[in-house]
Amino acid sequence: MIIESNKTDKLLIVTPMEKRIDAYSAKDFKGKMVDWINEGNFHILIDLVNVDFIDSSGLNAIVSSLKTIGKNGDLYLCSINETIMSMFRLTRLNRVFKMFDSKDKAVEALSS
Amino acid sequence: MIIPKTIKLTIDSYLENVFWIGLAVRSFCSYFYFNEVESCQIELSVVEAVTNSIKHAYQMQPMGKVDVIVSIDDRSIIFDICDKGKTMMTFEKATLEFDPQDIESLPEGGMGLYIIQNTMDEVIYKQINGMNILTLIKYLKKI
Repeated sequence: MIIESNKTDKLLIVTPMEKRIDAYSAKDFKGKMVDWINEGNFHILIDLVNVDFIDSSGLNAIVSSLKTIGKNGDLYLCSINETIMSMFRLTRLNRVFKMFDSKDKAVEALSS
Repeated sequence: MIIPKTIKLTIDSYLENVFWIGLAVRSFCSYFYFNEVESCQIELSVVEAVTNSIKHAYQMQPMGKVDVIVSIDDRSIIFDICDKGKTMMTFEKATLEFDPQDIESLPEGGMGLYIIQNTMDEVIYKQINGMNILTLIKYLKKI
């Protein structure tokens, strides 16, 4: 899975470049997230602007990443389309993650 | 236009093939007047079911086949997900209990069946002649 990453002063911004985070790609996604966390990136923003489908394996990978960060930092999400948001609402995971409409809004809020 | 009442999609039991089933299901749903969110939710349910067949029934072994039989009638669209792998031991109402403030309580599994049961109108599991069949039914919207 291709994931672009960009470091700011306070954040690592990761942007999956593929449309789906599913059972086929979730293991790779989770592995890359763990690598970034182990490198000391504890405040990570996942920009879902390119993603139009996430299944339960993808949700599990995102939850697992948050657990790996633990109390050292936080995991943020942005640019979530309505179909994916409906899954977060159904599973109540929308109450777990801090979510932003866009990357710019997230960076602005998290950099202040 | 007269359309066929049933179509069967078959994939080999590789996770990378599930994507094709998802694409087809989303297209069927859009054609039958489900909106984008509903179509994606139905796609997700079928994808979860097919993924379960590959992961749990075939235990990731690639020699199996998964059939998805799509049927349409006056009131519903029906997906029969069929495999000949290991039988599901239990099929009960899935729950998803956690405290959103406590990250250690967050689930890292078991969401698939919960999503299916809370998205589709009817979910039925049965075994017939060595075939595991998970039937997912979504009622058509009246227009």
